[in-house]
Amino acid sequence: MPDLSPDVERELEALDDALGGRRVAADLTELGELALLLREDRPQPSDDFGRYLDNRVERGFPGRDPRTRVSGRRWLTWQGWMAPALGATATVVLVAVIAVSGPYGGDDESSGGSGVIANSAEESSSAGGATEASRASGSAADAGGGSGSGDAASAPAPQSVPPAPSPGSPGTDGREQRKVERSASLTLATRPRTIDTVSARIQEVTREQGGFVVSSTVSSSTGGGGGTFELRVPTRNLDAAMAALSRLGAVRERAQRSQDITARSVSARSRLKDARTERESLLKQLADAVTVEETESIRARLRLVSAEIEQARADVRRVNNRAAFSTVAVTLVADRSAAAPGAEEDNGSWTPGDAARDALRVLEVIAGVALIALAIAIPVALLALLAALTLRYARRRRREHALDAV
Amino acid sequence: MLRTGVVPDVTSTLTAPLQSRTSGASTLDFEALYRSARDDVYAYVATLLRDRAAAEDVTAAAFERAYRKQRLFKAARGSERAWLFGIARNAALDELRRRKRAAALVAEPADIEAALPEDSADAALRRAAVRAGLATLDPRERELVALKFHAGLANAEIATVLGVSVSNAGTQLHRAMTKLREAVEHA
Repeated sequence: MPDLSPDVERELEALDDALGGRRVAADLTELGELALLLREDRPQPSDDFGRYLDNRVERGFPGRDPRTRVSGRRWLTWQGWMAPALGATATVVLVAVIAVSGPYGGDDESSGGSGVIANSAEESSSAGGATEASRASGSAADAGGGSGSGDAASAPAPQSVPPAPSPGSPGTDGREQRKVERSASLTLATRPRTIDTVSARIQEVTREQGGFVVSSTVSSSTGGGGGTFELRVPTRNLDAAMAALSRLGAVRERAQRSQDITARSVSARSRLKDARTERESLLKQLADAVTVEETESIRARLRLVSAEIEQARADVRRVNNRAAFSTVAVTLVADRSAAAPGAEEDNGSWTPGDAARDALRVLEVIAGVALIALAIAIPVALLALLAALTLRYARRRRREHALDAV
Repeated sequence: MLRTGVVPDVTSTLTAPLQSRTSGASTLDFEALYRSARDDVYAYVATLLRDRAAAEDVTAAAFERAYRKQRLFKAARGSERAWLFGIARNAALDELRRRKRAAALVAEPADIEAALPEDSADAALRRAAVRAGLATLDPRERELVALKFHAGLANAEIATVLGVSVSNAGTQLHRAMTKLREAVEHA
């Protein structure tokens, strides 16, 4: 025993010698005798208690011992397997929470081109549209294609498409005579290698819907690329076209706008009607003219009116065209994480390369989730460990204090 | 009264030898440990609590805890007996805390006059003096005496149970014995 003085060490050895029945130095005999007296005088359990405890030990401590008051206050006995079980349960719950509300749960992106699609829809109807329409009711000849064909069920988010701005009863608000200009924009994401395929499909869809491509710009590269398209599609097919286009890639953004242009249509038609009336009047005046000067003056006036008529006709055609055809601006972006379902369906094959990429993607997601889980679990575990150590220390202190208080 | 340098081999009620029973393996023979330590644990707890009924409860609880936690025993941390007495100590201290919360501790009066049937008058007097001296020790000193002489632990095992170094345990034990000797002499 180091750090003990020789005298202390000698007396302690004497105690052990006495208890072990060995010879004790003459000057420490009294100490040895005291040791034996202490040992002989130790408390002895009663025979009843001895038999009772022997019986419980033999039976493996069945049930709960009514005598063990000290352990009776614990409603749960900590078992060794509880720590890993608790840790595993906490990890599973954590991963589940992350999977549900993690990096892909609340984002505005759709992963893989299917499933959650977030749209931003806006509607910019002119504030005075309804007023102008009400003023123009009865003067417009043909009705614009306010609502498209019914492919809304297949659209990714039909509930976000703004309805045509035609509230009220068709019989009272002149809905069938109103002109509404509609436009839309769509941002699609697809894999870099499918940029060309999707671009071709955009043009095909446009043609299938009776529209045409006004302009397009497509660029493709190994790791990126993209394209922009300005399409004109019949307004009645706008919804169907949007739905078909949305299936070509992962929809990143979609917006639709509508504007009531009934007033412009009415204005152009009124000008056309006035010009025609004036021309008829001039033609009558021309027939009645007697002098050369008078005739020349009327003819000059007729030329001006004819030009006005042509201008008014052009305006009417332009307004009708704006109502009959909608402009769709499509932006195509390359994204390795996005899928192009339409393009893949067209290819009709799922190659081993696709499988490898998908597997890699799954592993990336799993690794990401595991990393996030660890980022949360490690501090939590450290805090739990700190709390456990603190509790243990406090418990030990309380126990020692209990002994001091006796 | 011993006056010679040889201490006779007094019949001991201890059921296990006093030498360290450290086992190298982590597996615990609970039955053997129980058989060797039942009375020792009771004696230690009874000395600590000074209440025989409570000592029985705590002893039973300690063995039950040890039985249920025997897989947690690590031989590298100390002997089986040191591990068992650590459990018994915690159970006894928990009981002290519980009693402290419930009511002021009322210890059983030490039966100073009690004597073994075979005691001579001189031996009875000496035994009474030892009990009286033991009663003058503070709880920690009395616990040391109980661990050493009632439970039969080696100094290293006492150090493990108390969570102190071996030299510290020896120093404290020596101090307690010195105080006890003085108390016995003045009794």
